[in-house]
Amino acid sequence: MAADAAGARGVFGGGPVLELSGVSFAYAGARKGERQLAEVSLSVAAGECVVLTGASGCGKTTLTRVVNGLAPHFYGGSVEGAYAIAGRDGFALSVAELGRMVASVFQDPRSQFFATNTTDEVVLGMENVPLPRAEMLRRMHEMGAFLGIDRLLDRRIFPLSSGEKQRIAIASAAVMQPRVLVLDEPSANLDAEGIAHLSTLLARLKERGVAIVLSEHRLHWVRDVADRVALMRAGRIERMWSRSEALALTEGELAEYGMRSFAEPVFTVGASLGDAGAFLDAKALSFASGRTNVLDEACLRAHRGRVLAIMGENGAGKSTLARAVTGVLRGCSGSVALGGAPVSRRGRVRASFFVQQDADYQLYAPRVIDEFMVGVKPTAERERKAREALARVGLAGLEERHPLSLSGGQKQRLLLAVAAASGRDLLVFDEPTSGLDGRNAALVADFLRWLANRGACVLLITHDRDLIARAADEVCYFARGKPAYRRRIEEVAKAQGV
Amino acid sequence: MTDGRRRSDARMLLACLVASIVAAVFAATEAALAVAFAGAMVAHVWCGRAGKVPGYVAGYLVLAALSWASVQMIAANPADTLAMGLGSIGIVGRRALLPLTFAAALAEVPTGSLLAALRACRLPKSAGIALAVALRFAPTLSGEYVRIRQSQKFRGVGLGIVRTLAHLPSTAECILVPLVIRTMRVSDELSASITVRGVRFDGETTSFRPLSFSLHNAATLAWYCLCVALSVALAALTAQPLGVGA
Repeated sequence: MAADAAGARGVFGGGPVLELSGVSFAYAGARKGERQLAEVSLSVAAGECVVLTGASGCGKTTLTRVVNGLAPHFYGGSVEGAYAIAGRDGFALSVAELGRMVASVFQDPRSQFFATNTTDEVVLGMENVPLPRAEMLRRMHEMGAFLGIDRLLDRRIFPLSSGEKQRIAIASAAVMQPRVLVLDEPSANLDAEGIAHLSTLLARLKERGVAIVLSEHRLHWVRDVADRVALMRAGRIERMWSRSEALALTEGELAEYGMRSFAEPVFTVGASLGDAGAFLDAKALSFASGRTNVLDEACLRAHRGRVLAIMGENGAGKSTLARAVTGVLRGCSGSVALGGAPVSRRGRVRASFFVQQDADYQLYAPRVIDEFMVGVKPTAERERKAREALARVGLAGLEERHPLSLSGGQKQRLLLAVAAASGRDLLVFDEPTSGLDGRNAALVADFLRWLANRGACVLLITHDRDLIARAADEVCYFARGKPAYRRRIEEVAKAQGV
Repeated sequence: MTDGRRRSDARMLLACLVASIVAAVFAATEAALAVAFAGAMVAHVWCGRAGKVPGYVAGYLVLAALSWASVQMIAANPADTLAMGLGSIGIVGRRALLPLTFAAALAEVPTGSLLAALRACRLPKSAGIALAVALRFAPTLSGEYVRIRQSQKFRGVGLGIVRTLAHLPSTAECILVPLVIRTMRVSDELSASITVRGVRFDGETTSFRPLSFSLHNAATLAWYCLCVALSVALAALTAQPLGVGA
């Protein structure tokens, strides 16, 4: 594409570091004629960042897999076209050889770490080149200072926050001194602070001449680091914009493309709606893990017919609060009343429904329609409500499908439908729009609004300000184990200066 | 990490694990198994893992209590299948505890050091990668199980002991299905992650942390092998079956 080649010059001049020409890819086992990538051409220069966006299933992740060699070497399939990386034939290189030039950061920190110690994780790639020990030490110290992770070295990985884990993942990639860095939705599990760090790290790597290919739904944090934005659909790059062209797209155009906004909403908040008539009344909730007070005499009130968004940094205690309120957390002191009457922990489990971020933990049945009958006696009335809920979330016609064969967005909507059909009064949702494209995120927001309008008390734990703007009545900011403030959302505007 | 842990060479831990398996198979009497277990606990203390020992001892005692209880129940009713089950758990559990304690110690060894140690033992790299992935996976699995069980409660599954036992097959299915799916997904993503970073079955690696089989490691290994040899000899001399009260 002429426009694409013209864009691939970057600040370092010269030709592209990475060049895909007419690349098509079909996974092994795909239906005849079906391709996950169809004649994709893309060039990226040194120090340039290209953001790939588009609806779920458009081919963004597959494209990143072709770039880092996982497709076709790990995820088998057939590939056509040409792939040049730093002047070499990318399709002729093994994954290990490609790995020395193309480093990758994946979405889920839990499943991308091989080691249990941060230092061991950072040096893993270098050990397998292998580099001399002295060189490994030099690069590790250099990158530690450059990326600001010195204090994170030689620690156990799993207790780190999501943002800290992501920094270790990026450090592990950066010490390989790659020509290209590929990231697949790296902000999915990050809070605002983590995202700000991520954006800064990528900007620094760009200054060093690393070409970046970034697959992402959440566009607000990439507006300063992206040089070009590629919209993918059905395995093709449908549109390619420069940064200024992308930022000039109207909200209507973004919605039409199924993209999220580049601008985060700004809330004007007013006085809280008050506690009178609160359905949920949680008092003095305290819970300690080791020597840390995860919940510190936290009080929370929420009303029927309203959506209360709970925001805060990772590790503030939001999810723990949700588990305490819904009764799955043992060892938590304090009291919780629903509808004016104190309810035991087990009673709260029966009276509430908690949809967690990862749908795979919560789907058990062989058919979509059977998910509504798990743990209850099947009745005709339940089936009628189930079909109604499925239709409302856009899953009508999928009743006979196996739940685990659905896409990520479809699974999330299925759980929303199950929550709606449960008839429970207290509904809690933890990051329901994580990993969803703009269209599905809007669908989720509207559904949460519908649930509240039907009379449910809805708690929403989220970093997604677009979701809050569209669905929430109030916002509660959580910090250090307790609410810092609670305010009514009066007005929503887009941030200026975009 | 403590100095003791830093001194624990992966080869020493592997050898202790193999010796534990020998003890688990051949220490056929209560006294013999107790000797092997006591020797293992001393080895763990020497390796700087004294903090883990109370937990291991408590586990051993609980499993021993199950064995004792089963013996009493079988004495009253030889056809008591519950007693047989408890007895099996008590006997097999205590035997399995020995190698598991050293497997837990191995899980703390840096991955590069583990792979380098296995290569130094002339074992194929594929074995090292498989072992490293298995050790890395265990804490992940327990976390996945906890999240699944918490999610189930809102669906009315696994609520309380009575309800769980009354619907055991469906409760188990509701645990196994998501657990298997999550396991497959995590293992797939983990495999992809290490593949792009060059971890592969062929090719050389250099351990960031240099291997060092010190005098301390040699002494620990010698001590534990001696304990295992003693326990096997004791079992051969006394020759009473485990679990009926030696």
